[in-house]
Amino acid sequence: MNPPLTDRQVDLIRLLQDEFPLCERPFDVLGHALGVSGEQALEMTRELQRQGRLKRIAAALYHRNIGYTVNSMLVWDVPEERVSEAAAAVTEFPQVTHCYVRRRSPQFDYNLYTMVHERSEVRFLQLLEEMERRIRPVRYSSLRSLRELKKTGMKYFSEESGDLI
Amino acid sequence: MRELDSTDRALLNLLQEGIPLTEEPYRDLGELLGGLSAQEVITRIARLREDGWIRRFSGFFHAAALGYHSLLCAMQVPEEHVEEMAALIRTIPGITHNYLREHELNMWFTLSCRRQDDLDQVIGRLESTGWTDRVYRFERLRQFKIHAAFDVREEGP
Repeated sequence: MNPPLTDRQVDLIRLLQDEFPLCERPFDVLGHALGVSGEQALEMTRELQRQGRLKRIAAALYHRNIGYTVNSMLVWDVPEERVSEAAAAVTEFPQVTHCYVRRRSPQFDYNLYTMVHERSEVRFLQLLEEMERRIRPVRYSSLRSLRELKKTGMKYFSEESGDLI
Repeated sequence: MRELDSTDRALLNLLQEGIPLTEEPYRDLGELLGGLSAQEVITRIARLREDGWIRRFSGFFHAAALGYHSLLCAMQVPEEHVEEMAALIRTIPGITHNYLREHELNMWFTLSCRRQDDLDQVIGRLESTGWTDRVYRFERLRQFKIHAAFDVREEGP
């Protein structure tokens, strides 16, 4: 278990959610904003990563612009005793970006969820066939994405999110 | 949109994996790219942002490790209320992704909040609009993979 977040860590998390500084010594900029040295800001950032709180400082791309135009949520009804095996098989596909087991619902009786992105219809159909073969015959459904209505990064500990409605 | 050269592609692949947590990360990235200067790397990243390849360049966090509760939800929204519901959802900061999908349950969104009560409150608000009968919750039981990195290759479709 991690110790509770300190106030200064929360301040750093807020800063790291904004665009990362584009200058030769970016942690000096963060340190300046926090009132600590650049070395301390860097060490605090590494600490957040060691604690498993920060995944990475990275770029998210507009995936449609780089050619991944077909996006679908594939949901599978896998017998519970085979769900780990099935998940291990499908996560090997680089086109699968997210894979979860979720609680079943009588109205939507699936337990394994995979998000997939492909560059064309033909490739998507091939992928679907290969994944189906790896999972072995189970009932599944493909929920193609028709429109992206909202996509933003989560802002943790922002003033706004206390004010939800 | 300007064409990407091979250095841009290599840089985009590296940037998706995460920059090194070092005092001069752009200099270190430059070395990985075969000897670019820090300034050249910075200029390229700025251009890739301006040209609309990079959506966001920032820290990415584990919601649960920060004490947040998150949930995937779905609802059936009739065609005539889709725009209104989408507009309402755009005002709710805890909902970061919302998609219209090909299914009877046509609207799917992710919700993250600091308190369980807040999740219930947001869902209650959506149900009270009358634009949907019910919001279904699909709680996550296990996570196997989460890393949306796309290989930026030359290759066409």
